[in-house]
Amino acid sequence: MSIRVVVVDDHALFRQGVTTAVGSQLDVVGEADDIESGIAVIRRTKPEVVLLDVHLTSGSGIKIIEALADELPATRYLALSVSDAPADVLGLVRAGARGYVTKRIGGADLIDAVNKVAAGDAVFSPKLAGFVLDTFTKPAPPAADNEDDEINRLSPREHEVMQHLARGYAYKEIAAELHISVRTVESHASAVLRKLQLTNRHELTHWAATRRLV
Amino acid sequence: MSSTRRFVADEPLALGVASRLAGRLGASPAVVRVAFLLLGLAAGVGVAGYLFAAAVLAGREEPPARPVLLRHNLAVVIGTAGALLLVESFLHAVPTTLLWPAGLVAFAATLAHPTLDGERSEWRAMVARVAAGVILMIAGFLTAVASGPDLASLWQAIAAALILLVGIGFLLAPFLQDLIDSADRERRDRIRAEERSDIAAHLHDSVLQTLTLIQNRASDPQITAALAHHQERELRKWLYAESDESLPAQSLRPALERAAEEVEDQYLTIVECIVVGDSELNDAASAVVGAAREAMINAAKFAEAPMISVYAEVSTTQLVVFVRDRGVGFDVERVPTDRRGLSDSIQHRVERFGGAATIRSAPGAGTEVRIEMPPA
Repeated sequence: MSIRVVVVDDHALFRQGVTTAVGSQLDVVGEADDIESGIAVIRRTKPEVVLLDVHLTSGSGIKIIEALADELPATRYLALSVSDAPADVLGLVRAGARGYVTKRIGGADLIDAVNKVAAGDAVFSPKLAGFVLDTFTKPAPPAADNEDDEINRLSPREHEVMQHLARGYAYKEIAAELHISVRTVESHASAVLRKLQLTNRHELTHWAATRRLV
Repeated sequence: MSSTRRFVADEPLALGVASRLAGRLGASPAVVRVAFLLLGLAAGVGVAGYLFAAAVLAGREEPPARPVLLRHNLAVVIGTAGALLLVESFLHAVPTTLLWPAGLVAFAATLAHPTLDGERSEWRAMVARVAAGVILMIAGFLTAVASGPDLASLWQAIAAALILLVGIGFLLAPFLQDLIDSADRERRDRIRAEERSDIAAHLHDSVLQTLTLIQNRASDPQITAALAHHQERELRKWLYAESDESLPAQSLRPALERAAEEVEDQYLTIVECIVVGDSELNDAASAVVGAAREAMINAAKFAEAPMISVYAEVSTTQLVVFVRDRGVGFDVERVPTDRRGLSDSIQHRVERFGGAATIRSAPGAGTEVRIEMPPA
């Protein structure tokens, strides 16, 4: 049984393109072009995965995640955008999105990403991996040092996985490279995602805010 | 008396004579009321006229009101002035000094009132203002004359001057306003037109050209994607006024990103460039950027891959750049002679500064070039 997907994006052409590209493998059960209709469609169809545009005309996609977080905890979100403004991407990941890809992604890769998200895994585009590395390799501010240090730092293995993701490696390639199983790579990625969502690094938001579009 | 709006609105105030007369004359009720008021002050002529009109009109059907026109209003003003003249010459009962100027001011104010009647065109508003201004100036003149022998009486002179000034103001205000408005509008229009032609020129040189190219090469998805990506980047740069390419890059991150963009443009491929950290662009770092650029060009030329991944990590301990493609790959041991550039331009370039470059590749498994540089 194929995974049920809702596409929320304000460009009809893009929604159409996604539906065409993934329609053979995934079950696109609904489309919406703004926050309100997005919430309504997701509520009605209860999809497993929502492909969510970072920027909607009526505001950030974050609002959809926040509005439905308690009501539909099983629904997972994969963020998409044209541009990689770190502040926006970070916002969605922190709100609960399981990953981020750019709209340039090919059909096969998108299907793969949706499958991963549906299985509860994290999806890192090279951009998002680079962003994570940039955030976590900076020296932590003194205030953050004494509390939850685990959360504020990547383990060497996680760091390695992120580096390979940024270099353009797929999970399978990373597994072969590091002599670990694909499952282990996935769990490292999920751990990094969790840290990204929980970290209290002050400069995380600051970093994102001061950077322009990458 | 509660409000001017009540006064102006076409509702009967007393017996409804003024509004009914106004309807028949095609004048503003306000003007007719002022006329009755002034004539009433002149030995009660207005009061008599009002009662007479009330008696005559009583019980009659009102014909549909004539449209309120400026010339009807002016006719009422002139008629009232004539009646006042007659009353004065026969009865000497008009308190001249006050009545004339006060009356004229009242008419002027009524005429100039912007809500006098609903749909007054700009032209008519202007004429009304001119009329009001002229009437006020006459009033001022009359005041000055009326004060006659005791011109020394200061307040009258001041009043006259003020009234004159207000009259001139009425005359000139709309013209000045128009002048300012039109100058403003013209400047805004000109700026808008310039912006528009700027945008049109830019879109023509960039987006439209690219769209045409894409139409012609629609059969080649890779070139189409590269063209679209290139255009997207350029348009984004233009829209958000990103870094000026004519300036030399100040640090490693922009230098590497720019190298990636240049390769994208030159070879119509897609280079995804991720840089973590940043450092000063010294000779060693420049050599790394140059080597990475060569690696990208090699990948673009020979790999036949849809995309090239570039990842650079800059820290205090090292500088490392990976250039990777998932293309055809090659046997590193048997580099064909035409690919000598690989070792010359990549390895030798960084070795001079104490760095190193290693190439991993195998036929069918893509290529990855790793370029390292120890800290300065």
